[in-house]
Parts: sequence; C-alpha cells; structure tokens
Amino acid sequence: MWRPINGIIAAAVLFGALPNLASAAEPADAGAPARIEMTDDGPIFVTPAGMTLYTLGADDPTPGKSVCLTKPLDDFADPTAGFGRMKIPGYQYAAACAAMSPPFLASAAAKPTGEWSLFQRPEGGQQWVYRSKPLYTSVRDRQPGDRNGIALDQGRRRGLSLAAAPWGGPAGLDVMRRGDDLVLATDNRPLFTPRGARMQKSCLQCGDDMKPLLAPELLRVDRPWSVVEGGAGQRQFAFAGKPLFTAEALGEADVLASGNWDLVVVRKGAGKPPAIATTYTPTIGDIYTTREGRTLYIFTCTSPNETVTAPGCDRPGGPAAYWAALCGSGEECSRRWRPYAAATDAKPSAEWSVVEVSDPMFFDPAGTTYPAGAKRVRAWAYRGHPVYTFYEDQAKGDIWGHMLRWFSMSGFLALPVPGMATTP
Amino acid sequence: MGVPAAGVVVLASAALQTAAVAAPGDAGALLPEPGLRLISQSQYVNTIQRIFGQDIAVKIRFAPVKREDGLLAVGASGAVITSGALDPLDATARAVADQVVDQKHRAYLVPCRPADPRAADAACATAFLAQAGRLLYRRPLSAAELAKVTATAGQAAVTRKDFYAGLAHSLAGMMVSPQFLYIRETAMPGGPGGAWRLDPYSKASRLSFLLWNSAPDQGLLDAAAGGELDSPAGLARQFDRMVASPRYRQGVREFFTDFLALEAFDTLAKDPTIYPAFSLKAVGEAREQLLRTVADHLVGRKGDYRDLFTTPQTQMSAELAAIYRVPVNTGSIGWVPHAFEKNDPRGGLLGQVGFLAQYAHAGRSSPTRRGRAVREVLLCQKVPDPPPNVDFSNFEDPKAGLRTARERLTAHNENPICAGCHKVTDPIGLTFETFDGAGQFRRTENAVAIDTRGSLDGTDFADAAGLGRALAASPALKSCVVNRLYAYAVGRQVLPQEAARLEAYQAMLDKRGYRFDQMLRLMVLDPAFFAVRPPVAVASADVLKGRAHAAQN
Repeated sequence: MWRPINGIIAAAVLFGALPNLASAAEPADAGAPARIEMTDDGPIFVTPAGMTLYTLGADDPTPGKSVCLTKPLDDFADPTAGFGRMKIPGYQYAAACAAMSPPFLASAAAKPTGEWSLFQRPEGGQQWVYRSKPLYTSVRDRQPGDRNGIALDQGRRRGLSLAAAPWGGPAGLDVMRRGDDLVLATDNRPLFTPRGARMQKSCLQCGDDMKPLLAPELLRVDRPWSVVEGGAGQRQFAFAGKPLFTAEALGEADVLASGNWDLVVVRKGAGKPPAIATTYTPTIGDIYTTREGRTLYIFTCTSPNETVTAPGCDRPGGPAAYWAALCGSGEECSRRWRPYAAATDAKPSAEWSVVEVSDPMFFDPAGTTYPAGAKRVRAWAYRGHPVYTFYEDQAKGDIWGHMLRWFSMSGFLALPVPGMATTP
Repeated sequence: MGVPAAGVVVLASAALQTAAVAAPGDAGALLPEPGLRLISQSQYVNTIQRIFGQDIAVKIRFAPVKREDGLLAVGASGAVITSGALDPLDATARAVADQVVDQKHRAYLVPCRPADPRAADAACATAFLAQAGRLLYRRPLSAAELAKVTATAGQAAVTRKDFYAGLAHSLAGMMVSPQFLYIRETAMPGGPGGAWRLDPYSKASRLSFLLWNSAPDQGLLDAAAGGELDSPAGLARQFDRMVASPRYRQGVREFFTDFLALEAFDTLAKDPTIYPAFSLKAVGEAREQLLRTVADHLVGRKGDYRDLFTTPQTQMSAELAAIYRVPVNTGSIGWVPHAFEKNDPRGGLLGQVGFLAQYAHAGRSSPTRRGRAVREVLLCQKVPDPPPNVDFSNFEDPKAGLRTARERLTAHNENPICAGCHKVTDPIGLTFETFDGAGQFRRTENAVAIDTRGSLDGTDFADAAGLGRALAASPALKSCVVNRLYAYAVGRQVLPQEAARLEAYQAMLDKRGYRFDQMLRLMVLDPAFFAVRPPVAVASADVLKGRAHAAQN
C-alpha cells in the first residue's frame, strides 16, 4: 500500500527532460487529426485547437463504435433486475451523452490513417477513433488545458477518461501520476533511483529487494535516456544519468521510507494552491483537504449504468432531485455540505479552479440546481467540480461524508490525490 | 501448414549433427561429442525478451520434451521440431518480429532509419540484422548469411512497400532458423590432452544457458570474440560477472524447475470438495514458493544446498498462508519472507506445500509417491514401477478397518512382490503423513493419531523435520545434485568415464561446502568441461579447421 513520508513524495526531480522524449520516436501518424500534449496527467491527445480529448468507458464493449447518443435517455435498466426499467430521476433535465461529451468529429473528406479510423455516427457525420476507441471532448472543459471531463466517481469505468497518447519513451516504460508529479513507471509500478552518489555507486546490485531495470540488448537511446553498465556488466536503463530500479520484494512506501531511494520525476506538476492540503487516511489513501485539514468532497450523480446520460447535477440546470434525496431541502443540504470558499485573491493552479456555486443548491426538490435568486459563493473546484466540507467531520482525516449516497445514484466522495490512493 | 517465414526450413536434430565419428581405439573416443539440443521454451522467451525487451509479448508453447536421466535438459538433446510444431513457432516469430519493428519499438531497437520507409534500404537492414542475428544465432553471421537475410528483407520490403515489414519478415525467418532454435556446439582443436574443445561461441552459449537460462549477451559474445573464454582468467572473469548478475537467479530457478520436475504443476489439481483452499492460484504459488525458497537460499543467502532441507526460511503468499494456516500480511507485494517456528514439523523444502501436494493424489496423501520422489528426484535412485496387476483389494476395502495410511500400507505389503519396493519408499513417505494431499497439517487420520516415524538408509527420525536432517547428511543427496547439475550443464547424460571427475568435485565440495555457485564454478572452470571428442571422419574441411560455426545455414 502506498504511504507517503510526511505527506511529501520523496523524489528525484528531473523535470524538464521529458519534452525531449517525444523526439526519440518517429511521428505516430503524419496525418493524425489530433496532436499530443504532455500534461500533468501524462501524454494525451488534444484537438488541433488544444481541447482535451477523451475516451468513453461505455464504448469498450463495442470497439470502434460509439454508444454515446444525441438523444437523452429517460429510463434505465435496474441493475438488480428487480424493477425492470426505471425512470431516471430528473430525467427531464438530463442531457444527452453526446451533448455532455461531444464526439470529436472528422470532416467529410477525412480518411483513416495509421491507428486512426472513423465511425459513422447514426445522426450523420464521422467521429475519429484511435486504436478502436472513439474520441470525445467534454462540455466541462472551457479552454485548452482544462481536463475536467474525467469521471471521478464510481461510474468512471463507463465514463470519460483522458485519451492517452504514446509518450515517446522506450517501449515498456511509462509515466504515472504521483501526487502533483509524473514519475517513471514500468508495468504500472513506479521506478526508483538510488539517492545520492554514494548510494548510486554501491547499489547497482541491491540484493533481492531492488532489481535493476535491464535494458534490451538491442536498445539504442538518446538523452535523457541511456544504458549504463550495472555491477555485473548488465545493461541497465538510466534516465538523466540515474540508473533505474524496480522494487521487487518491497512496497513503494517501504522503499521510500528507507531514505535511500527516490521516485524518478519526469515532470513536475504545477502544484495545488496554498488553500489545498492533503492528508493520509487508511481507507482511501491520500486525500485532499482544506488548509485546516478538513476533508474535501465532490458531489456526483452518476451510476455505473447511467454514466452516458449523466445529467451533471453539480452544474447549473441539473436536476435537484439527487441533492434532495440526500438532504431533503436545499437549506439542509447547505447546512451539511458547505462549499469550500475561495478567497478573493485565490489563484487557480493545476486541476484546481475557482467557480461560483449556488448556496443553497436548489429551492425546489423537483426543480433544477442553481435556481435564480439563490446566493452565489466563490468556491474551490477540482477538475471543474465544486468541493465541499461535511459538517460532521471534525478532526483531520475524518471522512464521515465519504460515500454518503442515495443508492448508487448520487452522493459525496472524498477526493483521492492522484496516484496516492489505496485502491486505484 | 503455412510456409515458414523467409522460407527457412527447420531441420531435425539428427540432420544437424556434425559428422564426427571417432575411430575404434582412438583416445578421444572417451570424450563426448559436441552437443546439440533444442532450445527450451523458457530459454526461447528469455532470449527474445532480453534482446528486444521485456514488454515484447512472446506467446509460445513448446511440445513436451521427454525427461531422460531425471532431466528435461537431457531429453532436449533428442528433441526435434516436427513440421506440425513449425506453424506455431512461425506464428510466434512473426508476432515477435512485428512488435520489434512497430511504431512503439522501432525507434529504440532499429539502429538506423531507412532513407525511404516504403522501400528497401540494404544498409539499414544490414545494420539491424547483423546486430539482431549475432544475438539470436549466438555468434556473428557469416557474410553469406548476412547477405541472404538482408536480401530477404529487401525483397519483402519491395513487395510490401514497407521497409519495416521487410525487416520483420527477415527477422521472423531468423527466429525459426535451426541456428536459433537449436543450441549447436562446434569444436576446434586445442583441448586438454590432445582433445578438442568447444569453440568460444559454443562456450558462451553453454555458459549462458546454464547460468542465465538465456542466450549470451553482448558482453559474453564480445568475450568470446576476443578469446577471453579460452583463458582460465578470462573464463573466471566472465563466470563471476554472470553469477553476479540478477539473471543468475533465473538460471538457478530453471535448473531446479527441471531437477524437481516442477512441470508437473502445469497439470496439478486437487479435489476442491476435499481441499477447498488448494485453488488454481495456490497451485501456481506452491510452485513459486519452492523456487523462491531455493533461489533465496542458494543465491540470496549463498547457503549450502544441503541446508535447503532443514531451513525454516521461505516466502509466503496470502493464498498459501491459508493452507499453512499462518497469519501473514503480504500487502500489495504478494510475497513476504516467512520463517517457520523452531519446532515446526515441516522442516525445510520437503515440508512445503509444493512438494507435498505434487506427490500426492487429488483427494488424499500418498506416502509411496512422496517416498519415491525423495528417492528418485533427490537421491537419484531408481524405484521400479509397480507391476501392472497389483491387488489393492485389502488396501482399499473399507471393511478392513484400516484407518491410517501406515495401516493400509502394512496390509498391502503382506504381498512380498509389493513389499520389495515399498520398503524403500514408505519409511520416507510415511513421515509426511501429518500433511494431507494438499500439504495441510493434520495430527490424526480417521481419528487415529498419525505415527510419523521413519528411516532413511539406516537413519531413524521422528518426523519430517528429522527426515530433512537425515537427507542433509545423506551422501546420496550430494552425489545426486552434482550429477544432475553436470548433466544439465552439458545437456546430455553423464558418461561413465566422467564419474571420477564428478567424485573429485564432490571431494572438494565436501571440504568447501555445497554452495551452488561453488558447484558451478568447479565445473565451469575445469578445462574438461569444454573438452570434446576430436573429429576423425568429418563432413567438411571447414569443420577440421574449426570454422564450422561460419559455415552454417
């Protein structure tokens, strides 16, 4: 289990080297309709205008085809099969999947190229597909660089994920998020490098716990990559001159706690605003908190079955029913769940922005969120979602509001720090 | 059957044998011939992934090889690739080659970029194929070979209008070539006492497949090319380098996979109604635990081989912990070091679930199988197969009132034909009876306390831990591992005339201890290890000149 040391990732900071990596690989497809952008979440595809592209988990069972429709659904199959098809709460306010996640459309003259293919949409037009996954944008993104469309809740398996792009590093290696930063990884596990010159010299053979990351015999690499001769004359991967190791018999936390090893940071993240802190919880791992340590939550109203028709109930015009089902009245919701107010001079950073939040969120339980006449407060938002504190949380690390839900349809979730959660 | 990539035909091993026949009475006739054996499945995978990267998917399943003299490695010397087996090999080779040149890999594995990616480029193809070929064939390609594979790549590039498709076609052809699939040793003059010796590249292959279970790396091939392997100091230097490598652990694991016949786990299953904890996952982890214990003891701790049978140290997974009934917290790692209590009845390696479950029935234990395994696998002693008409009626009759395995076997052994063999297996096997067919500890069988007393060649013991101590002191245990390791190293049966040499190794190891790297070092640095029979009648002048390696394909 991942456990940070004093809330700080021990890391070798090697940022600045990563942008060079892409040049090592040949261009993926000369006629590709999207370009690759390195972000704090890793390399992703963006539109020519720079808007983030996504894939939809709900499309996975139908490779190359989109199930994201332009017509909103008003009912869904009860997952327990006990009630047959049920009306979606607030369906009259629900947005269609394709309205929330506009397909990334190609021109009529576009032709498939390389790993890019086209899907003929039922309403007309053709949608770009990369490696059998149709691509989308998100209405939650307002400007280039926004990555707010990611499904953060339990519906993420069917919801939007960033459209991951080849990152240009040697095959078999990858990058992964650790807190604010991107670190080198292989096989979904982070890589380490010995801390300090003495450790590097003495630890090319580090016993059973740490294994050198062996390089293929034929490997040829350019800076910042290199192949170093390990202790037994073995060819070992190195990044920015630092030899790379995998942890074989130790957990990541144990390796870092030894004080002898660093993660290999290839991109230093922008960092969270000073108003946002983190704390460790045994249940979730690291989570975001207020500066004072109170747990921050987002409100979600999707379910694994209905992600594609997600009405976006924490956005203006969403159905209030999801809130009302949890707290009754708008005033009671507002008493229990307080938007985390942003100071007037608050500056957005990384995934954190400042938004205006309705307080209370609704007046009429059968109506919509953000009703006219409701007060608006400036609050912090994580990837576009306003964040809240819960009135029963008193001590640092309390998560009494986590997963307080109305069935699986809506509820509050504590926010895990990327790459630092106990369970991914 | 599909046409093999690049039209390469794979030959049966017999067709590849050097036509070396010693004349009667020739002094060299006592020496072995250069070896020829089929590469194993794990060697194939290890080699491909070491050359091209761990992320290259290699999906291959070799046909089973016959176990001879207790080892698959010996059986591999008689193995051939049939035409039916060539299709999957060809398909795997193509799949691997396609990955090597795909968009993701080509920039890092191909040392040049073609002038036009839609056309042939002989210079770039030569640069890549010369490097890859040297690693695949475990020697430099001859000029003729290189010209041929380059031309093949060029023709395919023109046909497919894709330089990389051409490269993949030629690379796939090399991977179904006998030069890659067979470990063929070639000889040259200059061995001890007028004998011949393996040429440097054959030495490199023998060393590498023994110590790393993989083909030689660039460093070892460079050492071969520079003559380093022909000098005792150079050979020792390379041996030390290889043993210090993390790949050495892989080599040790592979020897014990063969020695302990762990391929049996591929088909091992227990009755889930009797042993619900012994899941499919547990099967794999029981095998892994044996190998982890061995590698940790022999490589990590540099322990004595004999102590494997008494060491309480092992590694534990959550799945196995349920069978052992020990509390462990493996966290996200999957395995944690574990030491059995001082008085734990399990003792060393043989008290592990892997051994106990491997040599048992699907629904019950088997003292006979366990005893036979100790005799045959660990002590290299042959126990005759049971006669086909064994009468089990009194053994299995529920009315007979026989409640424990000891009682049943005692009744069974009233038949003198059966008793002869059972007396060499059962005194060993019955001591494991406190472990059921899945290796779970028990004190009673059918409410009767289990008697675990036993004996091994005159040494009595009270339980499995005592058997472990008796085994560790057994002379047969030492001679067996030395014999098997040598046969594994040379890839053939030990010749009668080599027995004295193995006894000499043993005498030295008796003084120094049976550390695994010491055992290997003794063998590998002995000039006789690479000595082979001089060819008396040969097929070509090239062989006489010791240049056979350059005339292959």
